[in-house]
Amino acid sequence: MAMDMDPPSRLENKRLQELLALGGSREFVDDLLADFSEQAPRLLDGMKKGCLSNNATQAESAAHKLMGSCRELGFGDVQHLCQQFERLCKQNDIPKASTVLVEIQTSYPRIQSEITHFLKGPSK
Amino acid sequence: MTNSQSILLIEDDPVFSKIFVRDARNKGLDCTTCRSVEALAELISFDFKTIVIDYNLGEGSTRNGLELAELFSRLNKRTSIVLVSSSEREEIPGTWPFQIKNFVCKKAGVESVVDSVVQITSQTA
Repeated sequence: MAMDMDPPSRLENKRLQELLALGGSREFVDDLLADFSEQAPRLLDGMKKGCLSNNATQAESAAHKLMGSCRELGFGDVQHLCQQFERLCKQNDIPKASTVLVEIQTSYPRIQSEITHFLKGPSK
Repeated sequence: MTNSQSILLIEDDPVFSKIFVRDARNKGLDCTTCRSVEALAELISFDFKTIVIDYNLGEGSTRNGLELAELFSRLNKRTSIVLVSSSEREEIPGTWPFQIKNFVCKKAGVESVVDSVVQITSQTA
């Protein structure tokens, strides 16, 4: 059994299908995913820098933005982790937030898989 | 470009903005977007029917959404404002101007924000 493969259900992002219907074209969703792919690494970097410099406000602000985009695109796992991270930053608990950040960084490639899976999907 | 029936969205997240604009257009609303407080100067003289403001406009922003709502309330008392945030209503401190007709938590989804604007726009038409 291949343990490192995502099950197909994880890769079926219903929210992206909803957005496809809302936008009426692949280009619309592709554009959203391009925006996300452009800003997500920058926001992850902001979270990391905030943790490293003990700047909870900077880390929280970046997590807040990443959480919002993940929610809109149906990336629920990372959305919930960002929510945890944000809450810990509000409590100024940087050590625990850093632990959650590692989980986020570990989960992020799964989002890239979802994006790749969607982009390789059949055109509408 | 804009008219008295149009909507202004002040939001720094491009993903949220693009979904909002598409859904708003699908529902018959004319929508203009602005990503930062600093870019508002060019739009401030327009007569928008409804302004949708994100409470959290990012770390670099000089004002939060509530402060912007207060500013717009002083400039034009006929404009309706919808405040949105990923936070819950209770987490936003301060005095809310009368022109804030609704608050929508982003957890409800972009489409719920647009539906709220449609409702407010039809009520004040």
